[in-house]
Amino acid sequence: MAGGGHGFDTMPGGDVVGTPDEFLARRVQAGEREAFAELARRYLRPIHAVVGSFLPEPADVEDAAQETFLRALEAIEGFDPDRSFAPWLYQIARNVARNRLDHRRRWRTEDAGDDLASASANPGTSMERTEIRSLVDGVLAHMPDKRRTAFRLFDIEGYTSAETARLMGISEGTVRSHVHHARRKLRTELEPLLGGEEGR
Amino acid sequence: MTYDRPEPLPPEWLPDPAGPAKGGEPRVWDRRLRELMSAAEPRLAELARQGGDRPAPRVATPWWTLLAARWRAAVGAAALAAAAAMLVVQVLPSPSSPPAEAGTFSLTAMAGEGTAAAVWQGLGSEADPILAQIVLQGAAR
Repeated sequence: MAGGGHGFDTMPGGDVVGTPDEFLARRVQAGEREAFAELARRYLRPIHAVVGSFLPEPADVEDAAQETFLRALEAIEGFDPDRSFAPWLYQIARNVARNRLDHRRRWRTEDAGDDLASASANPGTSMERTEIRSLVDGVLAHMPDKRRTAFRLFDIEGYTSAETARLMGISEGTVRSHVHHARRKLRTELEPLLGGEEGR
Repeated sequence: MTYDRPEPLPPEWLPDPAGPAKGGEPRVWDRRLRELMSAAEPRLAELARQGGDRPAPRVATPWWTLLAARWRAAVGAAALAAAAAMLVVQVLPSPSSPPAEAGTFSLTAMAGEGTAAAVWQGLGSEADPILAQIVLQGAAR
């Protein structure tokens, strides 16, 4: 992420491609639209993943991701381009998600009604999977924020440990540690409940 | 404890991703980007307006940060300066070397001033060029 080629880009962005985040942020401070668009291209997906690690409902995740960027834009004049942009944005995303979560007071993981209504020819399997994921969500909800986010980015969204580390402003070793502990916790909590469902 | 290869969880345990990390569903992300840019437009316009009213944002960077960022150039310049200083020291006459004695001629001076005969003539004597050369070389030794 320290520059352009961090794997988060979703489309080309003219002369801003390859420009380091911090330079782009400086240009956003001057109101340059294309610089902001490029930062959004780079970070829209990972920020979705970050807020998605806090908020269970897709609509909430989408709103929170957009709010993150708008808040960042509001605060951009206070951003110090000598510091890394990604962890700064990550902190904003975290705060936005936590605020929304506090507002809701609790996780709402049982949002599978629509999915079940449109279940395929094998509703038993769909139900089973939904239940498993609800259990996983429940365990994840009780993990420390950073552990949950690292697990989400690395194991669910498929980012590398380097990308995850850069976004969160932590070392790759810490990312691997978080992922390791999250996996272990999930296994410890779920294996007794799921028995043979562990899959490998 | 090593964290290099923590065992992955079964895929069926994992929640759906917010979106594929790489590739796929570009329309969804395009739409989200468009919506975001649309929502950001007023603030960007405000920043641009403010940017026009004031000088471009200046980043207060400490000198050592700049030096660190350009350490290769700094080291190169330092090496160049050191080499130039050594060259000057070697070329210039050492202050400790004894001054040339009066009445002696150095071949270096002779080469700089002209032919041996011309130097000899400068001393008030006509001379054969070859003999003058021999005499001057003998004097220089």
